[in-house]
Amino acid sequence: MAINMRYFRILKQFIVSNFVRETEFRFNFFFWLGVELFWVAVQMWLVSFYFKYTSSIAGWSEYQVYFLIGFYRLIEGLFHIFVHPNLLYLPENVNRGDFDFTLIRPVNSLFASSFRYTSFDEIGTSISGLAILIYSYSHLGLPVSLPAILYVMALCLLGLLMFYSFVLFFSTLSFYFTRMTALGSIYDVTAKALRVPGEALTGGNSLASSLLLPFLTIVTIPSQLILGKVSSSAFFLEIFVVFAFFVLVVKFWSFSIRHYSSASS
Amino acid sequence: MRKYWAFFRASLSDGLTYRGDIFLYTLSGLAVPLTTMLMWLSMDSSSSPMSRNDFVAYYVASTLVSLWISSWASYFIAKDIRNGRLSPLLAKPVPFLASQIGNNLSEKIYKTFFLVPGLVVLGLIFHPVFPSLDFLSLVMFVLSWILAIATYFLVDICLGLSAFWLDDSSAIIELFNMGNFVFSGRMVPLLLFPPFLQQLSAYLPFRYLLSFPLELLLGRSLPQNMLLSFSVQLAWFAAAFFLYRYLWSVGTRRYSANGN
Repeated sequence: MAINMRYFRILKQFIVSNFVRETEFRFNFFFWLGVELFWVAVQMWLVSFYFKYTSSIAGWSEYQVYFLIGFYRLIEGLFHIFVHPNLLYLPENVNRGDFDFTLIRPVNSLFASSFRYTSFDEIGTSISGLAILIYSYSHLGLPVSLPAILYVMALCLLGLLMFYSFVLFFSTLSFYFTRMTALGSIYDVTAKALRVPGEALTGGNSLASSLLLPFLTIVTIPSQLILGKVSSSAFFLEIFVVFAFFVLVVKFWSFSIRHYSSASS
Repeated sequence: MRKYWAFFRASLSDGLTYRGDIFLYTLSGLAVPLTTMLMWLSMDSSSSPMSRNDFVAYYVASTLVSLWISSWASYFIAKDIRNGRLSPLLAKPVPFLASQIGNNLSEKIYKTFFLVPGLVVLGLIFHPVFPSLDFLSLVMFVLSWILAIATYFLVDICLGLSAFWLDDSSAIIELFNMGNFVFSGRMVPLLLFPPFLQQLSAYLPFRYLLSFPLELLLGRSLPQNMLLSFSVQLAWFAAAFFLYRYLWSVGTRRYSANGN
C-alpha cells in the first residue's frame, strides 16, 4: 500500500513539473491545440462527406461512427497526454544509452518509461473527443444515468489500457532492434485504423476478426457494447482480452529488461 | 555527379542495415489509402459517387505514386540546424542536396521493394482494373510524377531550412501537412470535392503533389485542362526551387552553432 501511494505521489510530481514546463511555451500549447481541433474537424467533415452518399458504413449509422470517433479521440488524447511523449521516444533513449539512467532510478522502470513526461497541449484531443462522444450519445437516444456513465468510463479505461499495451509491446522491441525509429509509423498505422469501424477493416470476416481481436478491443468492441450492437456478454471477453494482453506485454517488458545490455557498456 | 552517386551508394548501404525500420515505414504509408478505401467500399455501392473499381484503382495507385512523391527530410534538417550538426556538412566540398537526394532515393527504392508484394496482394484481393493509356498520356504522367517528386522534395527541404530562423519548425511543417492531407487527394479524390473546393485546390500547390499525377495515370484529366495544369505544376516547381536557393543562401550566412 505504501509503495502504491508513493507511485501516486511521484506521478503527481511528474504532472506538476511537466505542467509548469509546458506553460512556459504558451504559443506551442495553443498552436497544437488548434492543430488537434483542425484534425478533429477534418475527420468529422470526412464522415459527413461519406454519409452524403450512404446511410451506413459497414452497418454503422452516421452518429454511431461519430460516437466511435469521439471514443477513439478521448482515448487517444489521454494516451497522448500521459504516455505518448515517453514510449514513442523509448527507442531513441535505448539507442543512445540514455535508458540506463532510467534503470538506475529507484522507481519501477516501466512506470518511469511510461509516465515521466506529459504533453498537456494534447488536451484538446481529449476534450474534443468527449464533446463528440456526448453529442453523438445524445443524438442516439442512449440512456443517461450514473450506471451508464460508469459503464462508458470503464470501457474507456479498458480501451486505454489495451492501447497502452499495444504501443508498449512495440516500444519493447527497441531492446532487440538496432533502430526502431519506425515506432512512430507503427503508432500512426494503428491510430489511423482505429478511427474506422472494425467491420470495415475485416469485411465481416470471422477469421480476420479473430486475428484482429486485441486491436478491436481498443475502440470498436467498447463502442459496440455501449451502442448495443453486440450482446453485453462481450464485456467479459473485452475484460479478459485486455487484461491477458496487458499481463503478457508486462512480462515481455520484464524479460527484456532482465536481458538488456546497455548501449554504453 | 560522382559526389551524388557516392552519397546514394552510402545511403543504399545504410538502408540495408535498417531494413526492418524501412519495412515498417512502408507499412505506415499503406495505412491511409487502405483504411480510406475500405471505408468507401463498405458503403452501399448503389449510392457511391465512384464505382468500386474506381476507388480501388485510385487508392492502390496512390500508394505507389505517393511513396515516390514523399519526403521526410524537414524534421532531420531542422534538428541538425538546431543541434549544430549542419556544420560538418557545410565544411564538406559537396552540395547540401547530395546527401538528401541520396537518402531520399535509396529509401524509396527499398520501400518500393517492400511495397510491391503488398500491391500484388491488394491486386489479388480487389482486382483493380486500370485504364490503358496512350503513349502521350503515359509520358505526361511520368513527367508530372517526376515534377511532383522534385517539388515535394524541395518544399520539404525548405520547411526544414526554416529552422535557420525558427526555434521550432514543427509548427510550420504541420501546417504544410494539414494542407497537403486535405488538398492533395490523399484523403478523398479531389473530383468528389464541392466545386468551390476543387477550384481552390487548382491554385494551391498540393493538388500537383499527388492528385494531378494520379488523374493523368487514371485517365481522369481532361485534355483541355492538362496543359494548363501541367504549366501550373511547373510553376510551383520553379517557385520551390528558387525558394530553396534563397533560403539556403540567406540561412547559411546567418547560421552559427555552439562549439563549431
